[in-house]
Amino acid sequence: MIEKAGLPAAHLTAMTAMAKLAGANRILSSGLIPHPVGDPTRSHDEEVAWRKGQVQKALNAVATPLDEAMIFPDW
Amino acid sequence: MRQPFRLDVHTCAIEDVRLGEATTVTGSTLTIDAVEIAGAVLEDGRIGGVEIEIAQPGDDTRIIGCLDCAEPRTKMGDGAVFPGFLGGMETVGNGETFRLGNVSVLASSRYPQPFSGLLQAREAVVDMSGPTAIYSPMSQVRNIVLALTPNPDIENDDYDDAARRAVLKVAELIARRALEAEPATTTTTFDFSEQDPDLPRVVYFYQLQGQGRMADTFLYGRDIHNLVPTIIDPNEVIDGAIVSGVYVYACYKNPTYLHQNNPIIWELQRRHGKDLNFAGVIINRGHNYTQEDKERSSHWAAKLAEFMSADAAVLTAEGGGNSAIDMMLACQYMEKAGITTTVVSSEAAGTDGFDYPLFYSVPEADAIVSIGSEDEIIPMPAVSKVIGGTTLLTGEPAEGPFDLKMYFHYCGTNQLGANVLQGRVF
Amino acid sequence: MLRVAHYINQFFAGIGGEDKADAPFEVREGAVGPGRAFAMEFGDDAEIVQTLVCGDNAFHADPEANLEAAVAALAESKPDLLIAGPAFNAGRYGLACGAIAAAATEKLGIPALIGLYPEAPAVDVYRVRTVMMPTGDSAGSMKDAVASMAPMGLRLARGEPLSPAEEDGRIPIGYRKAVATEVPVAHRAVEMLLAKLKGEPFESEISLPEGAEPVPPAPAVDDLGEATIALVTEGGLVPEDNPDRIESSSATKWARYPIDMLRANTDPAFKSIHAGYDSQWVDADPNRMVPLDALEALRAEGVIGGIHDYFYATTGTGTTVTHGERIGGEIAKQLIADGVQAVIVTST
Repeated sequence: MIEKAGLPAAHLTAMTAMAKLAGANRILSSGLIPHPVGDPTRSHDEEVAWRKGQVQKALNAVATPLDEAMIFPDW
Repeated sequence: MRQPFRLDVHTCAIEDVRLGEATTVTGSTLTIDAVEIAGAVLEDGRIGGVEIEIAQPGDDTRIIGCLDCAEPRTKMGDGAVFPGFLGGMETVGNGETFRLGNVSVLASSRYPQPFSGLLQAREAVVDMSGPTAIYSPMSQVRNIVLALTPNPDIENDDYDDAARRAVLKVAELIARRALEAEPATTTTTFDFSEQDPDLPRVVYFYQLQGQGRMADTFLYGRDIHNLVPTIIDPNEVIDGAIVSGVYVYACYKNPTYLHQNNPIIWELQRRHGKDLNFAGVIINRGHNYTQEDKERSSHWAAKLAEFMSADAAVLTAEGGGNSAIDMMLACQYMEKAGITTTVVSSEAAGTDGFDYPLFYSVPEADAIVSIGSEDEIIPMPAVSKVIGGTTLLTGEPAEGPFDLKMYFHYCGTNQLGANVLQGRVF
Repeated sequence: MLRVAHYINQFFAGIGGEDKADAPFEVREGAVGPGRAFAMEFGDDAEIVQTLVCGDNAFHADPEANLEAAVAALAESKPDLLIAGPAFNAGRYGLACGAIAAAATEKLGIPALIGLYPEAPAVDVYRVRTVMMPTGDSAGSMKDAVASMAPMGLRLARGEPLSPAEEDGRIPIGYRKAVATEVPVAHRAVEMLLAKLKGEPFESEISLPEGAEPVPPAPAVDDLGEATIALVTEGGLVPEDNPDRIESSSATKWARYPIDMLRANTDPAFKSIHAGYDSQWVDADPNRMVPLDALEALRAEGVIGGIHDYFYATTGTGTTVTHGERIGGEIAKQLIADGVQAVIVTST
């Protein structure tokens, strides 16, 4: 609904197929279901650095012009 | 694929259960010696106390706080039912098994410590009679209820293990005592070694909940978190290879009793050699945590079905939206491999029923059997007797009346098809 | 004997055709026109005590006044049932039937029944507000319409519950509800499977969704370095006392909380009330659901212009599509009003 209103919205989730079905446009695979932007297996500093990377990818997604919904490849 | 198992299940169908002096069977009446059963339960020091109660179909009785339930079974000759929990570690599914039909041993209890978060044991209710009896398949069974109280000093996980073992142990003990009385039985043979080349080969995709504590299923005594889809013989399931530890939402629970009596397996057995060949069971972990794991698991399951030369598959799951994705993806990849599928699914159409009923679907899932909605709110009448406490977890008096969401009806929307509900358009 | 009121238009009341469509609302005693056919069909079970009549144009010229008059008449006669029509495929007449039937039920608690052609315009307008039986598309099918409406009407008048639409032969209201069935699930599943295998007809008990309308992607942010970014989650992250009482499942509410409050994360600390995932990791560190620490680091580096002062939360488990779309729309409106340029959504 946020994209429908004209605001670009990046969607970080472990459940990318569900996000696509729900009509999200800028979808990024991230984390696990219970912590889409967390990774408790890492040390705190490593986890923050990883999370920064995930958020950076999300920002890249909102800055990417799209014609249709897309699950961004994870690289 | 060779299916070498042959299991003869000898059923003594029970028509009444009473408390009495000895645990035994006379005709079709099962008598329970409460002292003997309580003694067996209390051998485990993690359990503080137990009351033995009987709840039979038609009784004006409500059972609350239901945990697992199991049917009384014992092996005739060598081996144990529920390996991994009772007896040595070995596979089951061969030989002769004795069962008491229409009987369940059902644990009811609260846990010693408060819970938080998703993974907790929530309310679970069975009404044995009246208009609300249809909301639990266990209302159709004679329940020997172990109303347990915990030793207050132990942790929830430890107590959970104790309660589960108590059910299995008592179920085996009652069956053993009944067998000693040499009751009359009828025999059902589970043998799928003969396959008719002119009949379609049907596999059963059997997805088990493996989400974490209070939401786990056990395969030969171990949780299934690291399970990749695996082929298992239907006879192993019938004979106690799968034990339930799922309490998060009662309506979805597939208890041990329903694994032993899985209606899909019994139906495929009944039709084997007539309408179809029962070509085996693929078990799969539901609640995989990432899309990648779901893709991996569902592709793998479809691949196994191909290995099994399956023409068709019936798919069931346990749980809500998360597990629905795993099952639907398996449906999709099986169909893409040319395997015809039907899916058994619960609904989530909202309390008023106006919402779209599926959590997740794939275009290939064009043959779905409905078992009703998790969202309906059921008015519960007053009853004269409650087993398992006096109040619900909400604090409401358990004798009723109160409104109870379908979530909390024990096995109310179990996807093994043991209930009588069907979602319809009004 | 059950008491039934009946609504018809000027044509069926014998006043006249289109030229009399401005005939004003009136109340007559007993059965008129098709009401007599209903009375025959009811036999000794029910009688038509009152007939409400209004011209098709007259009704729609002032629907509120006509509805008020109809409700007043029904409040006086207190029937056990209101039958409207059948209106077949008629537009104005069908809509008047729907309005009066809905008013009888909603304002007076009187069960109501309309007969309509399934494609008549009033069907979609009133299907959730009153009970409808399908009819042919013209008055030529009056006999059949009365024969199917009368027994349904008697059931409603007696207060009997509805059965599934297919069994009642009704036009569906559209809600789903579980009923007890004699045929075991496993039997239905295997029968359906064998039919599908053989290429025989079968009927799925749940039909697949019609494809969700794709949302046209919003334009991309031109300059991230100048953009204000907002954080939104369906992960149920709220202050631990959950001041807005957001539901832990089947949410109907959303809330926004100051980013400063989340950064402090003490008195109150933030916790997840979401009932669909294990929240222990998020409770230990809310950044795992709402990545504020990472976004702040990127702002410090100048990657983005700013962070919106609030983050937005709701619970996305068991949430209906209707509420989900409303919640999303309300959040979007607020974000635009606050001058946000882009959003990062996290979900479980």
